Amino acid sequence: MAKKSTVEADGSKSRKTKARRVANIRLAVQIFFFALIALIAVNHTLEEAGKAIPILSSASLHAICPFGGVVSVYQFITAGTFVRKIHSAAFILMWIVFVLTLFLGPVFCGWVCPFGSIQEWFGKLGRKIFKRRFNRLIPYKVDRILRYLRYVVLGMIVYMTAATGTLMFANIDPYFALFNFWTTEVAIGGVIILIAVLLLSLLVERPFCKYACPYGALLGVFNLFRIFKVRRNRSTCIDCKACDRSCPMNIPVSTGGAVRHHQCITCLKCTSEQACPVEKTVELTTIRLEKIQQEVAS
Amino acid sequence: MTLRSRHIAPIVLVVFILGIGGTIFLGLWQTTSSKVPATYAEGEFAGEYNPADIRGSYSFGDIEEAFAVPVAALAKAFAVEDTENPADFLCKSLEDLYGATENGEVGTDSVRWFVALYAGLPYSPEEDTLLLSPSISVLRERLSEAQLETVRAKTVTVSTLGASAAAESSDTQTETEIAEVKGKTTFGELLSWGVSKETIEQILGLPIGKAGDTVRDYCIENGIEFSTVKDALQAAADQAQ
Repeated sequence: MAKKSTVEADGSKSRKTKARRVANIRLAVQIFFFALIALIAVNHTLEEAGKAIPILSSASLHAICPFGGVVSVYQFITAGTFVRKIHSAAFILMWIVFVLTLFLGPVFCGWVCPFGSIQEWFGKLGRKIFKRRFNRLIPYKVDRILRYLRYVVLGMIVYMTAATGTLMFANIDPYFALFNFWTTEVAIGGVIILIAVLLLSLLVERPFCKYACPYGALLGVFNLFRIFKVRRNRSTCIDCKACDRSCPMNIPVSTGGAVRHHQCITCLKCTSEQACPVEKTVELTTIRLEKIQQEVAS
Repeated sequence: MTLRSRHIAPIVLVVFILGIGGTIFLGLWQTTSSKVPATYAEGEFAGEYNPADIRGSYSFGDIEEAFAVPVAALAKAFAVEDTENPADFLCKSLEDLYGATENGEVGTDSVRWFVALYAGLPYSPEEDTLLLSPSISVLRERLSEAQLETVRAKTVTVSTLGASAAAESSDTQTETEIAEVKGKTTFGELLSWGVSKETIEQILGLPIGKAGDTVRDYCIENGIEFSTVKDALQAAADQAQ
């Protein structure tokens, strides 16, 4: 009996080690993009002082934000030009992200976006402070309604930008404030929202992504028809709810076959690589897992 | 087909690298403005460059190229003649230099308005847009008296902007914030305080010196005792305030 429990403990330990190693892959990608954007933002400031680091891009943050492409679409179609401060690079990045999202879902949110990453890192601290209460503080009914707020934000921003031809919301953009807080370009509104988001991140996982991010709202729609979906094999699922508990966006993964929730960010925390204790039960795949199982069996 | 984290990481990186690299190779990737402003779509000026499209990243040199407004005129109008190379001066730097006050702001929109006035192009500035007083002397020969009156109503001196900024920040005052004629005062500063070229010449009895020259050095070079003109210049500066 003691031997069996030792084997189980060893298995659990090795699974945890493996899960941690897998989680570190995503963390490495997040750190890479965070550092890259931070360096480009610093280089932009250095360039204005005539001291830019060679080779590294010194583009402004607006120029390399794929959402800049989204808000420019109307002006590009009607006038053939971009919104002020937006250039073709933002448009190209928008298409790159759309292609990735069509196949993998909002992988940009979960793996690339530096503002999502910093909220996640603050969340790790919040989890240590608030333990089990972290990310479970907002009542489900309120939370469910609030999650549609980001579509209102998306509509407002796209409409106002199309109407004015300028980045109307740049002064309250926390992402811009994060990478420009040392410059005079940043407005106090942006800094206040940035601080508020980071503080809220101690209580709720990715609060800006969940309730306010207009780009996340748009990419979230792709979850309805993305090619690779997070799928659950009902026949092997032991209904332990580990996938639900691990999801940073509080998506009930265990209640369906495939995750089509508009807030999935393809972080893969729920999969059998990490949270799910049963092999090949929650996977990022193109076809139903039961079908794979049947094919293997036959 | 099933993907795992070890697949996603390289996929994401490769798609970004290929996408960006490919468009750089094709010459489509741009992170800065082409410095070619948009043109008027219709009306009398259809096809001409529209000052409304001047952006903060435009230098005075870019504007000269597009609108044929000389760098010297822009530098004088915005009192930046003393900068090392006015052709490289960026419009957005005006916001850092002068900032916003309760009366309005001297910034990129001021440049748009000034260029439109100088080049005789239609443009409606934003409500809080201001010009600096030296603009008047640059525009005098190009505008009617009625137009000049409109512009004068939206004109401020550098010292006014400086005083407002000082009141807001209560930081240490810089020399330009107080219109005080001292040994180090330059002709550029006198002009930026609103003292006209004619008034200065009348007080000195000489043609005005270069914007970067100090009045005292210029007086010494021309055999004038600085103390004999200092009070008159101070009075003119006070009057211009």
